[in-house]
Amino acid sequence: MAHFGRRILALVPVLLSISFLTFTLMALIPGDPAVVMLGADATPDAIEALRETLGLNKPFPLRYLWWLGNALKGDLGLSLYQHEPVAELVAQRIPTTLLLCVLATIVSIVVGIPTGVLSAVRRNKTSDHVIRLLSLVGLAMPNFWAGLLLTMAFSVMLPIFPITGFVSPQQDFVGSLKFFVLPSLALGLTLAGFLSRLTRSSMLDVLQQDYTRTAWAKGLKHRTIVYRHALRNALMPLVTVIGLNFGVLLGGSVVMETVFNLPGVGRLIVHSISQRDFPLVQGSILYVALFYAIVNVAVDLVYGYLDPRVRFG
Amino acid sequence: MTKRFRAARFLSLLLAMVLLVACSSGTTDQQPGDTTGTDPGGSSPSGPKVLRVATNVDIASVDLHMTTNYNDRLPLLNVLDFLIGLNDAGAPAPVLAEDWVWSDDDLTLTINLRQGVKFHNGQEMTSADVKYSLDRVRTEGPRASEFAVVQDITAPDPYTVELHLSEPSAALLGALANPIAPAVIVPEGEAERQGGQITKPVGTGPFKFVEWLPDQHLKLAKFEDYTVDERPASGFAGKRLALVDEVMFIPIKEASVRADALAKGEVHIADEIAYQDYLRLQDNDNVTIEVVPSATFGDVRIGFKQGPFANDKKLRQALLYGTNREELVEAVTWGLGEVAYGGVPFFSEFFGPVHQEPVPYDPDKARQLVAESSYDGREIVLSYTPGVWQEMAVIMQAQLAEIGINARVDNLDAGSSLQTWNTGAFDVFVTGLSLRPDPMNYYMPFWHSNSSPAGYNNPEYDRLNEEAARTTDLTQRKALYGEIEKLLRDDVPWYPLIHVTQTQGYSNAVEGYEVWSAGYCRVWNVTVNN
Repeated sequence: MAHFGRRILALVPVLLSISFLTFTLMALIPGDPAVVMLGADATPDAIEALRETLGLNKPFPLRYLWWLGNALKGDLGLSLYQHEPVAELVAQRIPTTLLLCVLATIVSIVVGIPTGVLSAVRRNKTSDHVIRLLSLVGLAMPNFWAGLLLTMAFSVMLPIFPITGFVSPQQDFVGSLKFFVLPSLALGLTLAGFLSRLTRSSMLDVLQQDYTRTAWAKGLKHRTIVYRHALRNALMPLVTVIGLNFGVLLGGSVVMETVFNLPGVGRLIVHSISQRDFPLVQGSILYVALFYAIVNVAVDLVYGYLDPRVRFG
Repeated sequence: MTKRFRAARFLSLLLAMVLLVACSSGTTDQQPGDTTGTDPGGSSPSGPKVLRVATNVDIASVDLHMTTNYNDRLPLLNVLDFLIGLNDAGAPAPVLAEDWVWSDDDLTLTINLRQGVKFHNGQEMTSADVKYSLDRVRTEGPRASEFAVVQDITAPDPYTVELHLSEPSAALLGALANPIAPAVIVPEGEAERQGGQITKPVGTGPFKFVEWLPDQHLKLAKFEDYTVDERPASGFAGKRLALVDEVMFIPIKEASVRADALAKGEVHIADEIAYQDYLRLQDNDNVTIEVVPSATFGDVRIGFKQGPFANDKKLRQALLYGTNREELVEAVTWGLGEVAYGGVPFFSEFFGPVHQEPVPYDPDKARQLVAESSYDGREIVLSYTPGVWQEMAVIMQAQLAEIGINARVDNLDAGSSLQTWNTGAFDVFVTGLSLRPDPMNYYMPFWHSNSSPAGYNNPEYDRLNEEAARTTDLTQRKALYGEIEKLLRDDVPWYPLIHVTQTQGYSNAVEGYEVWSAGYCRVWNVTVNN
């Protein structure tokens, strides 16, 4: 429990520095909301006036402290364009992105781990070569291209999944799933290739260990050795990677949301950055960072289950 | 605890995460209305008739008075009406105005309003609403300077508005009709009622605003109490009828996905068809892809606050003669665009003989000019507006290398590009000009010494432009813009490149849709058959 507490406490400085970094980066990149809102045809006077109204002329540290003070009170401010609370705008979109990432993780696990195990067990046989080749293709294929190919195949040639339209998971969970099938496949399959290769090498490592040889010598069944003894121990590095991959998935979801027209946090962040909607950038990145951190705390807890040494060490 | 049990826990953790997502349904359900994407491919015979339009970018704001963003006004000019708007020929035409009269001294513009026009909130539109809207645009809007000559607006009776000017202005009608941050008419006090900014537009157009779900759709519905203007339809003016019950504008950013949605019949109209998709869809019998030359043209703007061009006319001329427009047409618009030489587009009635005169591509002359100039071979930076203009900058880099100018293309996103332009921190800026109603809008705001972000200061250019803005006699005014064009080609503070294309596709179930050189997506007088 103390271990868990420490991990949670460590989130505070992480989130603080992320908020500061985001704020600094947004202040450093050229262009501000006043310029973007008014566009190329605006007069310098009009831009200056809007800058004053938006409080952009105040010094940087003051603006950050003001934002931080409000954020600590739970107020992330209003979006400069939509004039709605940032927290609400992000909350509307979090389930979409999270569902996409979770489904993609499941796809990558369901496809990646069994193929990796098979590949290790049948090392240097034909099935091993085929799996390794396919996983290499998966690794090398950019996910947006995979997405476009899947759209071509399963929306246009075989019209199974719609291109437009959306039902949010918080409204109708089952009804929303059809909009998530292709994007989670596109996102998950590219990661499955990576996971498959990692499982293979991790399994090969374990299969050569003394205790595996002992198990063979004891005359245990093939299945028991592979799944009970080898895979269980090979899982440790895999869990780490799955946790870290969640960050990759959050990044990849930006692309998938664009290709598949999903209104998730990824697109929200991209829009808000290009529009220089400072409060919205700040708020949405904070949320995404929080989720990533939580997933990694969860991974740490899973370690504890898989390996008691972590729990008691 | 068995190991099998531990592995099961790991899986249950994953499951719990899925459930977490599922459970959040109860707490974060803030989306108004129905978010189901409606049935793809149109509507059932008994249900409402829905027209579905795929756009390339979602809107960013619904407050048209305050935004210069083309993507915002593309759908919303179906909701909000001009007092005086552009017609098909690109000239100002009455929309909510019945007609207008100038006083003998050209200092008062009296606009008579159409009577009985209803706002979407049920109120009748009167002169108070017009005065409110115009005052908002001329005091708070990004184009406030275009209305600087307006001293006061009065409303002597409910159907008459008077604009009192400090000096004669030939550009005022154009300013009223300018679609950039348009002077559309909203009910008096609407912004204040909505808390300072307009978040739910209320207008007088054939369609009313229903909802905007960012990244999902913008939904419009037929306005039942719409007051029909019986004059012939032209541009933004005239008889405009809502023939469908609902219109959905759906942002699909990825061009090939947008084309797929059109090919599959999930949308009826798709904006901004990419050239490779245009080729792909040409053989599709169910859709029509129309390519019309756009009134929008690319242009090159010289920096006068920095860089080697500022004090070197020969070097600027070298740039002008070293630009191969035909190559840009081929490379950037696949041969479908058109070269542009004059500072006003073919669309304008001011597009005279001087403007039509080609500027020859002459690399030898350009090299000669570079040699005579003070250019020392240092690297110059090409800044740009992202999009098709960036592609033009890349081609120009190669063209400049041929005449001995060493150039690099900058790396900018939309926000930094605007900042670069607004502060004048560039050597050369490649961007574009969308359709403007008055020649003044092309020549003056960016290049008059009072307002030029580029830092251009030429007293003769200023004087000619001021005179042209004041001159109400059309023949005289046209002659003045001819002179300005000549000066432009000699001193070269900026010059046009090529017209891009308006490439829109529509399904053959759509009837009455017109692709317009000015762009936009006018969904009035359009119907969809099942």
